[in-house]
Amino acid sequence: MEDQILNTILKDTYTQTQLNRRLRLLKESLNNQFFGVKNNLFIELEDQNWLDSLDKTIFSQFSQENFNAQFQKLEELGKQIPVLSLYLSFDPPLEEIAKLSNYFRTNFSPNFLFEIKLDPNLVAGSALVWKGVYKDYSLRKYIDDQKERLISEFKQFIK
Amino acid sequence: MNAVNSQEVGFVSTVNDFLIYLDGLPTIRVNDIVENEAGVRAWISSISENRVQALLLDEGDVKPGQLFKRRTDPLSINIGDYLLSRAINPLGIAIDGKGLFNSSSKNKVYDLDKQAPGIKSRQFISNQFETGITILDMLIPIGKGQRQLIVGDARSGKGSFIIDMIVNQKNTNVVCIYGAIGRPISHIRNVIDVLNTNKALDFTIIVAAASSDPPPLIYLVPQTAFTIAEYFQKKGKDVLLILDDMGNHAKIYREIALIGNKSPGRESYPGDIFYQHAHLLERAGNFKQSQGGGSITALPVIEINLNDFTGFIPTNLMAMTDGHLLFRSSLYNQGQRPAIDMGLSVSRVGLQTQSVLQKRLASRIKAVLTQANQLRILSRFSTELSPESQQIQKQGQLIEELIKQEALTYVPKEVQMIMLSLVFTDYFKNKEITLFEEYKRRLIQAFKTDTDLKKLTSQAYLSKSLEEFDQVLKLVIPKLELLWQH
Repeated sequence: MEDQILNTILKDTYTQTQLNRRLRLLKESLNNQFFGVKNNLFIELEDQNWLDSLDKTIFSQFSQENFNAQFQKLEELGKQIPVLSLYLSFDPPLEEIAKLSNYFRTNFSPNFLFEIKLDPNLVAGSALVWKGVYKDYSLRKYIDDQKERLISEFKQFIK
Repeated sequence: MNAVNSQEVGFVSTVNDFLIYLDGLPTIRVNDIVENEAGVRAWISSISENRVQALLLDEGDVKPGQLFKRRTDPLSINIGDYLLSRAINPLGIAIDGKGLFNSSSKNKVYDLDKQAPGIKSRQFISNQFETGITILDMLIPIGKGQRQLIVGDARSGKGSFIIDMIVNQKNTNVVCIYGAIGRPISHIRNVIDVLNTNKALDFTIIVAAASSDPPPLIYLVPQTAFTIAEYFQKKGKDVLLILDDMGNHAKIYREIALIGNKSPGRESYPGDIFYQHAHLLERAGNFKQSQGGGSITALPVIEINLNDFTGFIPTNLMAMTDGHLLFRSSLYNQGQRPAIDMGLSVSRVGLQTQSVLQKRLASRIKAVLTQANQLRILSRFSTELSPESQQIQKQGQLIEELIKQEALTYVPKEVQMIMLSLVFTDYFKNKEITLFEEYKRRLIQAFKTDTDLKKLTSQAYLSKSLEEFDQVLKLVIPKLELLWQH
């Protein structure tokens, strides 16, 4: 059951931060529904829209009795999803992340999350970390590798 | 862009003071080093199924989510002869203000945490480690390659004894390494200054992590000290290694283990504290030619409270060394230098390195000292002792005075033997014990400068039996008497 819920959430969730935020929202909503606990009085419109867009069957799978245990399992499953950390020199819009994520999910691995990290020092291009291995495809790396050659060529133009 | 920089990395998941847990690093191994963007290094201490435990070696701001990259070099240090007369931290960084080591001299890299060489690499300890300190060389001798624990109260003279041990190695070709484990910076500075003043820094290396340094760095001092010692030993040198002190090391390891959630055992020390110290100390020894031929004589130091040497760590260390020297503050306050309690000190290996003559003389002296001590107790109950008993008591008193030795003095082995043998002659018969300090100083000076006496001393030292030795001694006494007349 938790797998199904997670797969439903993951359909339009692309980053680890997004997943953590949405799980927290769902938890608060269910807490409110079952126990009348209101942790957050003001929910942003974007979050409310996401909650409204969720399949109602998801809510029906929880009850007052199984809520805590099942949600804990759901959170554990969420932590187990592999994360691809992507270092970019700019902050990409959500639509771009969605496009990129869909491409990766089709061609690379259906089950993964992005963790977008901003690193202006990359200059251009990107670097990524997958399963503990860092790969640098940035312009910084290229410049670093060609440092000596670039300096010597620049020196030709300096009088 | 063909060259892709591919590197193993891990993200910090938990930070607990100087201990961090990392996710990632798929093929990392214990003792590897990781480093973040700011250059803060961490040393991998253990690996579990889904996370890696590391100890921070530098101070810096480390937060969850931070990236640590694996470095190509494991926990290691650059070693060369250029380290002599320098003070470094356990990672090989100069801390004496004399500047960095130049990169061309950094040619050899050695792993810090190595297995001790096996029994096949070792040989019988047969050479005495000469200290120039009478009580040690004659009565509690140390062999080259022996591990001898120095245990004692605070302010019992351990520090000056250690300095003497190093300073007295001048002109002996012995390399000295002093490991300061979590000692105050002022103490480390003082040791460097004293050694420098006494021209002992040229053959000494100081490995130090002060009490203000991060605990993992302090923990690594003995490892680094032993690695440097092994470098010189492999070059055929005899090395004297002092670890001051192992009590601090145990406390630091306890701190690391408790933060790392290891189960506490006796006195809250983790269960592997014995292993930690034993696997360090067994790196000392006397090695065969095939292994370089040198030796590492290790002197771990531990400070105790109120003479209680029955604590957990002191008894552990006693069990893993070849003997111990017990220093007492009460003896120190009575003016005995070095303040070694002879009755409770032992050397299990050194005796085999003494010559037959030395051994016989030493047992003669020990017998007199024991008898004199017994008689001293008996004399409290009776008013009058027999002349024989009085004679033994006087001899005991003379020996005790002769083995007292001021700081920064060196008495050659031959002179020690002759001087102590004089107790069994009539030489001291009419000499005032209150003026003994003066007698002793003049005696040592005479043995060192007078050509005839020097000749006789060497002749006595080469004697094949105690009888022959006594014959030479008879020739020495008139010369000494003559000296007094002058």
